[in-house]
Amino acid sequence: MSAIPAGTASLREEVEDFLYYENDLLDRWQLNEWYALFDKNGMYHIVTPGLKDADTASPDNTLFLVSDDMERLAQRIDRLSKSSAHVEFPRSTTSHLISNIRVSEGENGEVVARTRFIIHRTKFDETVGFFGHQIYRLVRGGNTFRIRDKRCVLDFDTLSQQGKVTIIL
Amino acid sequence: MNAPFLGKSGLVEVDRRRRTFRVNRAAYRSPEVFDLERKMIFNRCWLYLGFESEIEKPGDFVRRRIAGRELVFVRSRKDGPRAFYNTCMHRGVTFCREREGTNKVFTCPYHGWVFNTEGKLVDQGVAGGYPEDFNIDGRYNLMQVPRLENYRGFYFINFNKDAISLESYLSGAKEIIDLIMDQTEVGHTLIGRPHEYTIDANYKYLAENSYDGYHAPETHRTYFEFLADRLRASGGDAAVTAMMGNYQGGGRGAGLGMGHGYFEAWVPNGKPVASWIPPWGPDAKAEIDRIRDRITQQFGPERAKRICDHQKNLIIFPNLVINDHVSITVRMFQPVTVDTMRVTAWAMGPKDEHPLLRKIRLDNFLTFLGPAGFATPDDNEMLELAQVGVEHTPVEWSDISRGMREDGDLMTSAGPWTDENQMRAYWAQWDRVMGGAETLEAA
Repeated sequence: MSAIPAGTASLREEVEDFLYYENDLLDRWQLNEWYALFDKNGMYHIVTPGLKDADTASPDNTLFLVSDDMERLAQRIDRLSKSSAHVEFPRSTTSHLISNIRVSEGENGEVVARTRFIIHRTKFDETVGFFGHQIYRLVRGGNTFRIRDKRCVLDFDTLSQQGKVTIIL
Repeated sequence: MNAPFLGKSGLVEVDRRRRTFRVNRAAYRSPEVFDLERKMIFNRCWLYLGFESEIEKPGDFVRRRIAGRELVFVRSRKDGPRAFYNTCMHRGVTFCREREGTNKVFTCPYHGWVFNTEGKLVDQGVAGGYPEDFNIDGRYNLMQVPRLENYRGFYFINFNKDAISLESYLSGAKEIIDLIMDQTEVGHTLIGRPHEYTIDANYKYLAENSYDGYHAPETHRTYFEFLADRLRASGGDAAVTAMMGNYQGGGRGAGLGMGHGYFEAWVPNGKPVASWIPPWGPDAKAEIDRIRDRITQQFGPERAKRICDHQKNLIIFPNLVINDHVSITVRMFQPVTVDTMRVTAWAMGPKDEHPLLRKIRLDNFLTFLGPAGFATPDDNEMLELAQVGVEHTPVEWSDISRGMREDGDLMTSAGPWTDENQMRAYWAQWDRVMGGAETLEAA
């Protein structure tokens, strides 16, 4: 990433406020409100742990864990709202922490934000951790942002500790 | 003659008159049974190691842990695939530490012993201190797993040098593997990085689950609702009714001999080779029609229908799934402890697949199958709940009776795909191998 140009501290603060809000919605399981933060052409990705070139790999030609366009993301959220989504019944408790946020100007007026995250999930008295980094591509929408792409990269080799990823990262 | 009886292992109970088949829960929860399985099953059965496309060029290797043993699967530079124990013949170090790669030689990081890809010790890192004939009998060459054989690109190992051949072992499963591999003339490849995860349940629970046609409407209710929504959007309510009708009618489940089993049924959610569904659009249809025509010409309409329109869920005893479903899936599950297994699930497709169909295949795979998909996590949850249930209650028996009849060979019985014949075939073989009635050795 190039050096932060002068005058971006306020942009970073704006992005931080937005991302803290986004993560708070996830911890409160307000998934419909979270969904509304996305651009109409938005995408949500989780890369398969251990994949090379995880920041740039494409789900069109290699296997991801999650690659949701807005239609499938709506279906994912709909599924998670049902008690018949057994793996999230009873619903788990989550704690999303994000840090090390750096912002830069992307293409076509986008703002690119890189974060590091630690997320804990607790269900049936057992807690597992997910950690790694995220790359957000954001667009301006009114006085806030819209998410065009949220890519989560898990910085470990396999899901040997976690088993599955059934929460939103 | 029809009195209930316990099998050789003492853990499987067959009652023909009552038409019940029961498994003692010690088989899922007892550490003693688990230790015995290592000896009786995993030291005697053919175990999946890897696929040919993983070691395409000379020197290519992958590191793998099979039945608790560290192995290196390598295409040697002189004579083809080899399976070595991943331990230096000097002092034991796991010399291969990378997950995969291409090597001219393997060098142990401890004292620098060097082995070529045929396993031969070619250098001890230093000059002097050893007689010239130090390795004259080859005792310091890497140790190979006693047997390594392949069927249609699937490589298996056997820790018993006297085992029957892989082809004999695969028995009736070969026919199903053929149906799956006949999708392409140019060969298959594994795509990208596999999904690797742990399930906190006995490994046999995943075998049962993988060809269980009975659980889907309940466990995967949300997936069927998702599928119906997609179909409704492109084909209206009629498309949904047709899908559910086709899905529930027909289909066959059976034991295939030697503990293997499968089900075969109409595929409701499409297959890149070659069953098109409307959400995939017209460009995909043209390509899928072209593939279908080729397969029909090559194999005739009846076999083409089985290749293209049917999903097959196949279990190779004891711990390999090959599913031909939304994508071909190769899923190996390794017992770690009595109540934990490690799963490695690869997506497989034709080497020359059109980019659009490759995208559909991968999209299909992760939607349904991955550990973050719409279905597999619910399966895993059921298996973990089952493990908790058997470990923390004194109840002795589980039931696998659906479709049980008063007669017939349990190893090869067939019925509707939503019955449990295929699981009984697994357990019947498990009982014979555990009880010592079947040694899997050549006569």
